[in-house]
Amino acid sequence: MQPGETGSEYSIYDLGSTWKDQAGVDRPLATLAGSPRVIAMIYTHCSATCPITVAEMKRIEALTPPTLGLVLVSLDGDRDTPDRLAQYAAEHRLTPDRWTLLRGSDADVRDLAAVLDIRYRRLSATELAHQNVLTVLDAAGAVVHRQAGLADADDIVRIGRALSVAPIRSAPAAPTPPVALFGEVRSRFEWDRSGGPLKPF
Amino acid sequence: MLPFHLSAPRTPMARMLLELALVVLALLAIVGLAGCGAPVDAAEANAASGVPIRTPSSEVIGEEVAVLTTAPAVPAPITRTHATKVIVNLDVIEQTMRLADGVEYNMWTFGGSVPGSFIRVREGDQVELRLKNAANSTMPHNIDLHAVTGPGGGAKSSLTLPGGESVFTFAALNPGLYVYHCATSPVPMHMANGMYGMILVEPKAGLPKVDREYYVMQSEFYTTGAFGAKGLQTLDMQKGIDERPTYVVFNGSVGALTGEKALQAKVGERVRLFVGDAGPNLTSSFHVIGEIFDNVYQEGGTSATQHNVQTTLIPAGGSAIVEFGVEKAGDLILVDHSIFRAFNKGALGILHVSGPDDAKVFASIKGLGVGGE
Amino acid sequence: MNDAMRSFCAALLLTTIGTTLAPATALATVRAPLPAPRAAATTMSRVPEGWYRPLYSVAGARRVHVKAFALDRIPVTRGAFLQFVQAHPQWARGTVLRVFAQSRYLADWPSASSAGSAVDLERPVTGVSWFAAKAYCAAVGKRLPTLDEWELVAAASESRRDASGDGAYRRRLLALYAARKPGAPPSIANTPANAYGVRGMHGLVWEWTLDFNSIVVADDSRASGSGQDARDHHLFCASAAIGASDVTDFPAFARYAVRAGLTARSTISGVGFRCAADHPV
Repeated sequence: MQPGETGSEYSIYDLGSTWKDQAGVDRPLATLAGSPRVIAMIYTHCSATCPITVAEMKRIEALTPPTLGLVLVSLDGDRDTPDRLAQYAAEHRLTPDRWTLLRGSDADVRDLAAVLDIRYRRLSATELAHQNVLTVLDAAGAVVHRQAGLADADDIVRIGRALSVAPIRSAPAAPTPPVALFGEVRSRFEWDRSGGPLKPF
Repeated sequence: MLPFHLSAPRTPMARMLLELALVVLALLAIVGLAGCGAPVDAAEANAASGVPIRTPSSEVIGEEVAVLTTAPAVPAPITRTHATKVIVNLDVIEQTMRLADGVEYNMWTFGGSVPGSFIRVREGDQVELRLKNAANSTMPHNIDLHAVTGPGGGAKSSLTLPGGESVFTFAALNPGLYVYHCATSPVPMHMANGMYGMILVEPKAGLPKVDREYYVMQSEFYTTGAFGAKGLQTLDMQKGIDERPTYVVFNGSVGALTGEKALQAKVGERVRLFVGDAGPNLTSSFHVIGEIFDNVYQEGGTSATQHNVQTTLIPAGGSAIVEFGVEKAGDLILVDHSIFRAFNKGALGILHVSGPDDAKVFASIKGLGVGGE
Repeated sequence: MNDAMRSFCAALLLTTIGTTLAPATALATVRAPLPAPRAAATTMSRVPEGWYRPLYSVAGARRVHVKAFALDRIPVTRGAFLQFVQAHPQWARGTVLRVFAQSRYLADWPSASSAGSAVDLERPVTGVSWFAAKAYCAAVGKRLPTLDEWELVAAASESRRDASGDGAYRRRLLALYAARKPGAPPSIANTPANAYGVRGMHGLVWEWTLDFNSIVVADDSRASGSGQDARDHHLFCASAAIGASDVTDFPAFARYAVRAGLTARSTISGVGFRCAADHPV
């Protein structure tokens, strides 16, 4: 995140949908508000890329203050019941103080994936093709960063620290080095491709 | 070792002169060291290997907005001697434009013209390309610049819906004259509808000084109607697949470089043409009738690899830089020497040379108009 | 407003009355299995089950089966959408939540409460996000068509349900796409009906589908596997031709490129929609 950069003008939590977490508790999306979050969409039976995503999120967990929450939303609500999510959390040592695992209806999954701009498609009863995206939300649910692909998440660690900077009183995060060889300049592109009034960095 | 022997000075004047000489030497040494001490340019350091691994400039000073020009104009040579951040604002505009007299076509353009705006940057510059797609466009568009080292030449980061903007940044690592084009699927349709242009990455040392620089780009149009058929024409995909263009033109339309729009030069001037071939299909046999290219930078590279050339081959999606001095007044004719294209499909332009005539260069002695019975 | 338009709007009002602001999921269960209103026969076409050949095969399947469904004969008009925003003000320009639409939502309307002249009211509505399109369809007891449903019907010419192998038809489609002019889409009147009785699938606007974002993408979860469908379909340059079922289907490439660029919040001047239903509504 660059100095002066702000989040999207909208909150993901305005979707208004209600999910179930790994404890079987009803979770309106807005209950995630109040602290910054890193959110990814996976499914627990995915053996190809989702383990890489989860491993990277565990690395983020280790490198960021405890106020940064980590959210895994299932793309496969049919099979990822709350029980299954609890089992998955236990297997991967995803503790409830940092981790929230959610499952919801197909329509709610579709809406959330759509607003996070995650492309996916069911290939069969057991398999989904999907984009791997990590999204950082601020405490209000605004998108402050989006990283597509399976690259390491150092930027997200930096942003996560910056968002959680108040409670830990550590030195401010180092500025992101300028993209030199080739880089997307994200803020105008990812968040509002309609090209409305541009927000400065 | 110094090329002269230093002995103890015998007079105050001599001593003073020697001291002065030593100071000058020291200053020279400092300047030289400063040169050596500056961050080593990896591109140059590696150039000796033959295949350099290039790195972006370590020092990018300041920021400027690129001046873009519409063909045949070319932005002025760059006089800067350092790398800077260059912002390129390129707007995609779809509009109905003239293809030939009485013939119109819904062109898709970079900057409102076919070919698209000419971009000029300097080797080592950090370019920020801002691609805007007009809100009333009917299609998404993107840009692949052959000057870019990066995914899709920028295309992967620049798919832009109508009303949207994409921004990406790249280091202008390699100097040369490069084609850019839209690479949105179906790419042949976007290119056949006019989405191409050129970017010059000027070498650090600049190009030799000339009096005139022009931007000429050859391309084809595949229309449902025959050559010259009036009215609004649209893409004939089958003609494209068969590589049977209806039109082959310079600078986007029949007659873009003739009559009042002819290129101009004066006798005794040096002319440089930045020539591109957008295709989509054909290779150009670029020739200027009545002139010989003194220098050809083949395929848009940075070395004048050939001299005294009649016709140079320009690949589709490629370019060439040609330079020549004009010695004779009159009209020089730009053609694709695959000559049906010039005669029947539009690939024709004029460079009008004005000034005093020199009969020694050329003069008719006997013929239809001169000295006949 | 002419008579046809008035009766169409009246029919729309009928279907709108009784719907609530409930989310789509609730509406789906509310939809009563009653005989369709008289007007439905003229606003929706029944599409029998069928097969079509997608531009990009999914899981190696070269042909996709589509169950019988019903599809609006015409795209949703500005007039119809105006009725919707009047009944559901949370979807009006200016009040719509930003999570559901980008800033140019309905931007070509003269105001939040006016969709323009009588001619404008008959144009397809554009500048609507996927969320708004979905909400509209739910409000009239319908849903957005799936990509497969939409493409099945789009493959029909005036005379044949499957015109995918008809070169002349494809050339006409490409000419239609190429002849589209920047600015407001043309009126729906005079667009011919295809073999299903559906009009304006190609000549007017790009249309939202429910799963527009289901195109398999670069970093899909199977990229590390060996499946054919793990290819990178990011739709630029010639790589778009890799894995496509028919590399001469330029109109389809153009549609998929549009879908690849859309996000659910996009409000594009050339993108509208029509609704579908499992049975005519």
